[in-house]
Amino acid sequence: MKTIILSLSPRKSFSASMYFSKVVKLFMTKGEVSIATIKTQKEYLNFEKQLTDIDNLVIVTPVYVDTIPSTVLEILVKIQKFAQDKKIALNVYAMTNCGFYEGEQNQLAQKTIEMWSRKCGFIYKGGLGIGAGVMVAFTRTLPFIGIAIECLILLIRVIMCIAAGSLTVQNVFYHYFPYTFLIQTGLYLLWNMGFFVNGFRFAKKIEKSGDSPLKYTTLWFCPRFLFVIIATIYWIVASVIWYKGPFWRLHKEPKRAKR
Amino acid sequence: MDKRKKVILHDLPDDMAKKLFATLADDYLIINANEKAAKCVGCFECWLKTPGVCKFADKFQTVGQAILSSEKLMIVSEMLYGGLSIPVKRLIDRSIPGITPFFKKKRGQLHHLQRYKSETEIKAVFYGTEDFSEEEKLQAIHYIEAMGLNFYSKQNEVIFAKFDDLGEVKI
Repeated sequence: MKTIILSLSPRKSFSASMYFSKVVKLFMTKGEVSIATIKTQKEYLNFEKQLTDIDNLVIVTPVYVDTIPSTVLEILVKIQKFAQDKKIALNVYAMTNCGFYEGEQNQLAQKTIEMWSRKCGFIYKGGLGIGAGVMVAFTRTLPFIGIAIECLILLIRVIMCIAAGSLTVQNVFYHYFPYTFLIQTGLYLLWNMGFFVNGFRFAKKIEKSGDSPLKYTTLWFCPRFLFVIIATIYWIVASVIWYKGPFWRLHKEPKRAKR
Repeated sequence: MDKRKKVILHDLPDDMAKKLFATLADDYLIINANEKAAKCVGCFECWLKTPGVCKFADKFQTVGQAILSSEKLMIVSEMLYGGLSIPVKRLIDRSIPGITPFFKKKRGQLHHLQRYKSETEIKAVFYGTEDFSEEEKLQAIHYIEAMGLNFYSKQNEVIFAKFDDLGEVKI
């Protein structure tokens, strides 16, 4: 069985769709599986060449304003024309992710891909709709944040030992335990559990080219109210740290139209 | 973008747009989605770096403000897979600066908080050259309902028409 996981996020880096694609690929241990992206015409033509020779196509896309982004629509239309001309038959699976907590808010995007599949002459075999996609994908950084904090703690210990004139390995690691790293890694595993469990089942269905009735998942072990609190903190921190933006204006009307 | 409170977003050919909207130009801000526009790349800068303003400084930089602060929004779009055409969806994707990144619960699900304190009315006209299937119509209705929830619409209307019959649609 040959499968292409087509990751179609318009984002250049840190794409949630690519994270989900990589994890599902990891779960697929049988058959020939590859991940493709289409950012350029060259990549598209390369993908087109492979399309005639595969059994399964997994469309992975984010949801923008309730359904799939215009950039993804453009690619789907191109594929449709090619598939109709060449009369290609293959199975389609869809893995969509939205920023809202509820996986059910992927329904329109999934239905769009189902309708597209029929127009192409493909067989839509089902899908997985992931809620809280941005947050689920962001949590993959938690273990690394944990490692960074642990390194900082050890560095402070080293500095304190040097200041006290007692720098030895035993002193630096005296009563040391990497709590932060373990907590962060634990949170990552817990919150991603919904995606891991459903993504694993999804991957196993694809391996067999079997039906995978549409399922939804979201952050596990994180109720909606907690998600709202964490997301609010996340947006503010992201605005301050990564975007150097005016976090006090995130909810306000812009002062002027042009920058 | 100016601040007229009635907005028409369409992907019609120029001759048809002139025929339909000729008498409305004073009251309505008419946005032609066929004009060259940058594509949303999901960068979140419009939420986090320059709140409310898209980073792409083209003609549609403030299309989100025009749409989300409108009192009436009319969308005229060719139907594609039960949804909007590529040019119209491109500008709808570009409209997210008009909402904030924060969440609130509405009808049992999370949605984004408003940036502009206005409620719009959405009228969507889906057109095509052939009859639509019931599945396509249902998908389009659900789509406009979902968009209405996120755009704080107090009323939604969905109309289906053949391209040649668009002249009979009441604006």
